[in-house]
Amino acid sequence: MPLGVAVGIPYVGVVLLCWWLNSVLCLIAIAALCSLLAAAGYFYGPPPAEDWAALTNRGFAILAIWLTASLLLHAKTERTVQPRSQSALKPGVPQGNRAAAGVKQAPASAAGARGEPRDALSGSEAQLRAVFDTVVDALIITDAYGIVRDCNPSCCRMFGYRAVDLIGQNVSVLMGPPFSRDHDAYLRRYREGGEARIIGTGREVTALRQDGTLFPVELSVGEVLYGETQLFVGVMRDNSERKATIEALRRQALIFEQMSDGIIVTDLEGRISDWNPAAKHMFGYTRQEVLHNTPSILHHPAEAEELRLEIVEGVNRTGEWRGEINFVRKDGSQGVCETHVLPLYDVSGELIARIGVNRDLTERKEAEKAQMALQQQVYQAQKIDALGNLVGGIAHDFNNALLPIIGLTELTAPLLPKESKERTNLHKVLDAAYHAQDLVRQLLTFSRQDPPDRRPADIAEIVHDAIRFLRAGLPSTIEMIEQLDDATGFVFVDATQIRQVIVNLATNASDAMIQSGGVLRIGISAVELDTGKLANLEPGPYFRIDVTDTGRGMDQATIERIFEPFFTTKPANKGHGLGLTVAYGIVRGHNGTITVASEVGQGTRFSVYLPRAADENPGAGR
Amino acid sequence: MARILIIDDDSLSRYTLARILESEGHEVMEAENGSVGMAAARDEAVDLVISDIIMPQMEGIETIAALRKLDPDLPIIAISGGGSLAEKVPLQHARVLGATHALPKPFGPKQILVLVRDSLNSTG
Repeated sequence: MPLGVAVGIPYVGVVLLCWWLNSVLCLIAIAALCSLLAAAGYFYGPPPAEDWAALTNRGFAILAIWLTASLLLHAKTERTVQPRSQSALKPGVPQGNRAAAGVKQAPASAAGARGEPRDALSGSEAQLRAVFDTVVDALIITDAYGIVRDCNPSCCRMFGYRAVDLIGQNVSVLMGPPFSRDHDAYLRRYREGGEARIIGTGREVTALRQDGTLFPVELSVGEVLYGETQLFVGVMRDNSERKATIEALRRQALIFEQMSDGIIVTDLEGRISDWNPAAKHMFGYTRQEVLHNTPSILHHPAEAEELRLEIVEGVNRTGEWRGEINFVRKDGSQGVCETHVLPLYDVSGELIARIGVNRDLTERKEAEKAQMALQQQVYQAQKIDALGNLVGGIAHDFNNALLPIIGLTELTAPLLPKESKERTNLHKVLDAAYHAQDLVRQLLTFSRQDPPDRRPADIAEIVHDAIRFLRAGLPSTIEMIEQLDDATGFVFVDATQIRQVIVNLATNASDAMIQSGGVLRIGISAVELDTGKLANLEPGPYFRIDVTDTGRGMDQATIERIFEPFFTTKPANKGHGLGLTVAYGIVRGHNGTITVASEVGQGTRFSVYLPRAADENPGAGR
Repeated sequence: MARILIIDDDSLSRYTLARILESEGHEVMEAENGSVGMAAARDEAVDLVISDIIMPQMEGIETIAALRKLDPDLPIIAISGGGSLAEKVPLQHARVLGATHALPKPFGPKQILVLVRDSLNSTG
């Protein structure tokens, strides 16, 4: 054997010993050192017999050294993968390399069929491969340039690709904007500077299926180093359903929070387990205050238990309960709501709770009541106005008829002897005629044919004067309370007529308490009336004079007729039924009105509304 | 004593007024409406006119206006039943248009005779 070739054998042996070294650089360095020594043997050894043969042999030796080193390097790269992150896909990498090299993807479990010697795969590698192929999450392996090196069946299902179509493509084809656009730049920064934003962390990104649809995925990425090859393992979970569920829950929570109906959820023991903000607004209690209480805190104690039983029975029998409920708020005020109670079942059909949806009807009910009262006022006003016109027409004929009776009787009576029966009779005729004249005068006041002599006047003074007049004739069983401090100011009225109104109302109140005794209150307050608040009244500032008694009160039928001429509840010969009629006529003649509120056995309140004068002292400067 | 013209569509009112005025010695002429009253006022020498406000044919207001035009110094007393809506205001208008006095019905002899005396004295 030529010396040059023989020398190469120990050097190759030295290089082979590097198999046990982990360092590639060491392998290369030793190969280089061996090559130098082999070359140096030519220059420093004994002169060869033939120079060209020696050179050729030395060249072969050096070639053998590097061939050995190269084979070792290749073998080590194939066998050694050093994980640097949480990736556990060591066994899949060789396949990825093959795929990147153009080898077609083989069935997942058939390692041998892919050309790998079955015995070359360790037991753990086979297990990991099985995990890779069967895991529900999508797994994808890419290189440092974003080229897909491998993917599992879940990934293919998720994105709609066949593995053979996906492997070799840039992974950005699986990404929706803006991730697809930014991905290459991200990889470049990572390669150049090591900037890693998502390595080892999870984040949600938009993914792109082959059919062009976008969907959300939760992505986590791991980095692995396979020899000198840098690889990334992406784990993806389809978030579409989870996001849809979260969105549905969020929407339902929003509805629960924002709907105007008060929702009360009770458990099977009847305790409140949830309560939305509308319920807080409606009932005044916060959620924390009512949790674990029963809805009976919202009802009168006398009604609560009966109502609870009715609702539970209704829900059990027909699957729901509907009804109107009177409720009591935290501050003690009362309201009305329309309630719909439904059972709530879990997925297995078990009853787990009851849901009460409560719509507050309080304002609507009050508005309806006010509307009805307003209509009643309009009806009353129209009726009384019609009566006023009728009375006015009749009064004209009455006055014409009274003229000859009074005129001729007054003319004739003095002609008869003073003590004569005839003269006495004529005086009786005159008394009757004067009474009739007075009635007609009052009727004309009611029908407002007699224009009031209106001047600026202090409302408190007018009322005070009337009260002073009333006190003299009031029985001791009736206490009169004067409440004039609340409001003072000017009105533009015929003071005499307004005094008459108060006297008439107070007399009426006094008559209602004459037997039982009681309290008569007369008060003034300044009020602002809105449009439609009271029939026939313009909106604006008014004084309200309240005349309230604690007498026997009136039923609705009596209230409806109370201002009609000649309507009276008093015994015969005790009243002619014109006092309130006249009062109403006077107040209407001052662009005001009178309202009445009464309950049988509770008493009555008449409220006189008179427009306030614009100027605090309208008479000043005149 | 004076010649007094009564214009009223109500015969009982005319009769009553006539008896009251005659009791004081006045001479009374009667007219049942404004037109007849105007004719009488033109044709006869009249010292005073007592006229109702509400009458057929010629309304009291027009009668008073026409009488005032006929004789600016003629004393006129306007009377009224005072019932209907349209009556109270015309009674005031009558005064504005020249009635010396206005008196709502019903009234007694004393009330009307005071006004008659006052009206005659103011012109006499």
